[in-house]
Amino acid sequence: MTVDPVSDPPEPRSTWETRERLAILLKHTAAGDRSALGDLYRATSAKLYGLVLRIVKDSGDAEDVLQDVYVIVWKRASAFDAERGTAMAWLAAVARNRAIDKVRAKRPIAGGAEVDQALAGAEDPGELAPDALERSEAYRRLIECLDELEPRHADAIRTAFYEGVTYDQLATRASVPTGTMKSWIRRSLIRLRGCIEQ
Amino acid sequence: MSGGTDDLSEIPDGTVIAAEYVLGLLDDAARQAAEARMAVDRAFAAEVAAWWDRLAPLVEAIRELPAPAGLWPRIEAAVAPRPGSAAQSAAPAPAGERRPSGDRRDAAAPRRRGAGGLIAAALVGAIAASAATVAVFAWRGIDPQVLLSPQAGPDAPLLTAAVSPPEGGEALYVAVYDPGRGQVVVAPSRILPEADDRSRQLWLIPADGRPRSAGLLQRGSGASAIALPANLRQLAAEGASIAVSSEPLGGSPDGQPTTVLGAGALTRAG
Repeated sequence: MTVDPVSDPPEPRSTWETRERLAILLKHTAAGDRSALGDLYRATSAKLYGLVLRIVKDSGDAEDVLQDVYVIVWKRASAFDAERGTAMAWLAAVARNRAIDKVRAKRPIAGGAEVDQALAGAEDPGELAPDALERSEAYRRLIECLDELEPRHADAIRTAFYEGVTYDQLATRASVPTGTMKSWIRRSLIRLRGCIEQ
Repeated sequence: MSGGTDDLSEIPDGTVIAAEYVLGLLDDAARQAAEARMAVDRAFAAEVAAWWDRLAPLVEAIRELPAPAGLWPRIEAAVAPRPGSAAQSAAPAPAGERRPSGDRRDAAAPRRRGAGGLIAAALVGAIAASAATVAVFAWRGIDPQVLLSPQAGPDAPLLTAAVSPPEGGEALYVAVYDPGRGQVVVAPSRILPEADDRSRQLWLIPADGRPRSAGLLQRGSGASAIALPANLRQLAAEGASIAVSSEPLGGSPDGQPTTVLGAGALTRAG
C-alpha cells in the first residue's frame, strides 16, 4: 500500500489545477447532466464553502448561500464562457455575490457596536491557507502589487475582498473616518491596477 | 493609461465604482445602482469584469473547508425534475427525507436520458433570476439578454429604459424591469439636484398613453427598487414608457405627473 511520491503523485489539492476538468463539468452541467453537477460540487464545494463562510460568518447562512450557488450554477451554467476566465473564478464570482447579498440583507449597514458584536461571535473560518501551496502566476503578481501599497491600505483591500464588508465597517475597524477609508482604497485600487497592468 | 498618477480626477468614475462593486464595498442602494448600470451599460459591465479578473486570484488563498454533509442532498432535491413527471416515482419523498448520496448517481443516470424535455421545462421555470444573478453573468461580459433568451424564451426578457429629458440629451435615470420579479430598479445616471420640498415620482405609461403611478423614488443618489403592483405588471411591456416627474412632497396631488423630468421607452436589454 506504500505510494511512491514520484511516480504516483497525490490528487492535485488545488482546484485551480483542475481548470480544464471544471470547465468540462460546467459544460456538461449546462447540458442538464445532474451527475456532472455532483462532480462539480465535490470538486469545488470546500473552496466555495470556505469563501462564503468568511463573508457570512455563520454556518447555517453559509449552507443556504452555497445551496443557492449550486442551484444557480445548475440553471445558468450555459452562461459560463471558458474563453473569458476559469471555471473556478466564475463559480467564486457567483458565490461571492450571493454571500454579499446575504450579509447585506441581514447585517446593519452602518459600522458600529452591533457589527463588532456579530464579528466577535462569528464562527472562525480559519486563517488563509499557507502560501506554500500551488499558486498561479496571477496570484503572485497580485500579491507583489499589494505589497507595494501602504500596508494598512493593502490590508483594507484584502479585508474587503475576503469579508465583503462596507466602507463604514472597514473605517470603524481601522478607527478612521469613512472618507479617509474611501480615499485610501480608491487611490490604492488605481495604483493596483497600474501595477498589475505593467 | 495608469502612469502612476494618484490624481483621481483623471480616472473615469466607472472604474472606481466597478472596483468598489467587485470588492463589495458599496452599500445597498449603491450596489443596486451598480447592478442596474451593468445591465444597460456595457462599458461599465466590462470594467466590472476586468476588476474581477484582477482580484479573483485572491480566492486561491482561501482555505478549503468541507461543506456540511447534508448540503448535497438538499441541492440534489432542489435540482430534481418537477414532481408529476413520468420519471418521478408516484410518491416523491419530501426533500428532507431524500436518501443521501450512495445510490444517487445510478438513480440519476437513467432518468437523465429520457428527461431532456423536462430539463428544458425546468430551465424555463428558472427565469426569475434576481437582478444580482443577472449582474453576475453580465459582469462576465455576457449580455443579459443572451443569457436569458435560451432559457427564458421570448416570454420574460429584461426590459430597460433610458429616462431622458423631453428636450433630449443624456439620460437622467436608467430603469431596468425584471418581469420575473415584477420589480423595476431605477438608478440615477448623473447627479441630479433635488429640492428638499419636492419628491420624484415614477410612472409607467402603457400603450394607452395614460400615466400610472408606480411610486416615489428614493431621495439622493441611490437607486430605487420598486415592486410593481399586479395590475401594472401586465402593462409593463416592450413599448410602454417609464417616466420620472417632479412633484410636491409626498407625490402627485391629482394622480397625474406634474412636471415630467424625463421619459423613455422600455426595450429589451442588451
